[in-house]
Amino acid sequence: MIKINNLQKVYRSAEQEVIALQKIDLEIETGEIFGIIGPSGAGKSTLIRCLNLLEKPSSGDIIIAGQDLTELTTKELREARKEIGMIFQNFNLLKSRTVAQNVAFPLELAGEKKDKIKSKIYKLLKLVGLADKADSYPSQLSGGQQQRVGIARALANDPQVLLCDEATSSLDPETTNSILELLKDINQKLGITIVLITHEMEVIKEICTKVAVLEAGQIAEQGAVIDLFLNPQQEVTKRFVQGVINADLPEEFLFSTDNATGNGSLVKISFIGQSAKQSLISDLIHKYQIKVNILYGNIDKIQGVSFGTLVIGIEGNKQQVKEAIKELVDLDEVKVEVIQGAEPVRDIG
Amino acid sequence: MQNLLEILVSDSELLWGGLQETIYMVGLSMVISTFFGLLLGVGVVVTEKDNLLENKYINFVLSIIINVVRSIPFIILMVAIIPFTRLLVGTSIGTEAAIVPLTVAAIPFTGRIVESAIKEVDQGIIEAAQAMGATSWEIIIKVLIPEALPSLILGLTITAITLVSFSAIVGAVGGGGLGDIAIRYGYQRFQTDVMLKTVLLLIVMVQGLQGFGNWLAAKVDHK
Repeated sequence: MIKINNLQKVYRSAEQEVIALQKIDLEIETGEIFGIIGPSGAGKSTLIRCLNLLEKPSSGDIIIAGQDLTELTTKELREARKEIGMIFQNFNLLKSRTVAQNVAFPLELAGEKKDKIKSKIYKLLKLVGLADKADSYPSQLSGGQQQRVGIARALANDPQVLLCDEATSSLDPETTNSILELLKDINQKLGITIVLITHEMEVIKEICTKVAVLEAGQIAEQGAVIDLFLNPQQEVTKRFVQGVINADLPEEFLFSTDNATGNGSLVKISFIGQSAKQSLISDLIHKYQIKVNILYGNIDKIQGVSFGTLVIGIEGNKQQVKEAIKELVDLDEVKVEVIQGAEPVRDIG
Repeated sequence: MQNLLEILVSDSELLWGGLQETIYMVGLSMVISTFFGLLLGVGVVVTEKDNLLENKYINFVLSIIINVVRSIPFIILMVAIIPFTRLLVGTSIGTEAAIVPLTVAAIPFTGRIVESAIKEVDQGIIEAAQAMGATSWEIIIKVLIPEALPSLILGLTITAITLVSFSAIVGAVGGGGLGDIAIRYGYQRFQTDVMLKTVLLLIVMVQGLQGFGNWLAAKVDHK
């Protein structure tokens, strides 16, 4: 549905050149919810605004629904933009218009007839759960409600793609969840492709199928969300994953567990799918005669797949501990990282 | 008591005529200058760098027009454009003739007021409209002006009040209206009561305009 080839964006001023984006290659399939995450200043906003050419790329192609937007005339671009909905962090609703008139705005631009606009507004407001607010003004609504109006407006011309520019960043966690639910719902009901940028890994975890991690204007890593959570390769990705699943232990734990006996190990185990439900630990205790101390545990769901993280301290006979860890490492769908121990083996997995 | 009432109602025909002339002058120059002032003000904003219709030449010319005309004191402007006034209305004396300098002075004034009102419109809203495929013209008509409307109304109220005061100046050179009456009767003939009554009328007029402007601005403001 969306293909970005070798996109580059450079800001030039008299004194200097700032490279905002470089060598961006992305492919987004129809019906996907694709997340782009990155720290602030990474170029996320520039990237999503290149998708409807609010920012003009310095070089590279933006192909949406088979059409290369960078090659269109101004007039053709305006028509193409009607097929691409967009919502914003600050909602950007017209304050002088009521909710219904805001939703009508893109329909007016498209030259739709009055009675068609009217029936469309009703349908859209019903979809976003604001049918009773049609005659209110944006200033009378809460942030979450305003974003719902933004979504209804973005969907008015039945676009194939919805771009979300930090759409939940100014909302509280509860409202964020309700907006994400709505986006998921729309994605399933209408089959619309959603591209969203965010600096919150929670958002990615909640609704995205695929994710690209942007750092300093380049894509550091991309793939299925579950893979990135389980197996982050880049430092920046690890930081984001940790933000959601924080298995960092306070320092005093690091010293007490293994140094006390000299035979202990600290191990972080990530489970995925069915393995999250197995009685792994108790099996190990029985088999290898070791002591296991659970220091941290968490189980989560990403895209409907169970995903667990466990940090355990293992104490016992040195050889037994080693073998126990080896057994863990050999398991499918389990990733083991030895944080501290007699045999410091990192990132085996 | 009898006396006071007599004084109040005396010259009422004269004053009524003057009031009508003032309303006519201010009203007509207001309508014309609002039209051109909108063009000028919107024009100067949208031709700015990185704006909808960026054009540094047009922007330069429009800024010059606004600043040059505004820097000429009204009484000098009025005299300086007498040939232009003659060309337009055939005479330089009377109410019709007064409307020309009033309008010429009010256009750049309004232009600046429109400019600052339009600049207040949130850039994000303009961007949203662009993302929906709006043309520059549609953005001006459907976004910039409606969104700036409360500020525009308050700004235009200032223009109207300034025009009331300018209209008293044109009165001094035979333009008619309340200013004319105040000068001729109040000043030259020492009829202090007439002078006071014109001032009173002007105060009521300005109060009325400001009150109406505030009311209207509040009515269209949904921020």
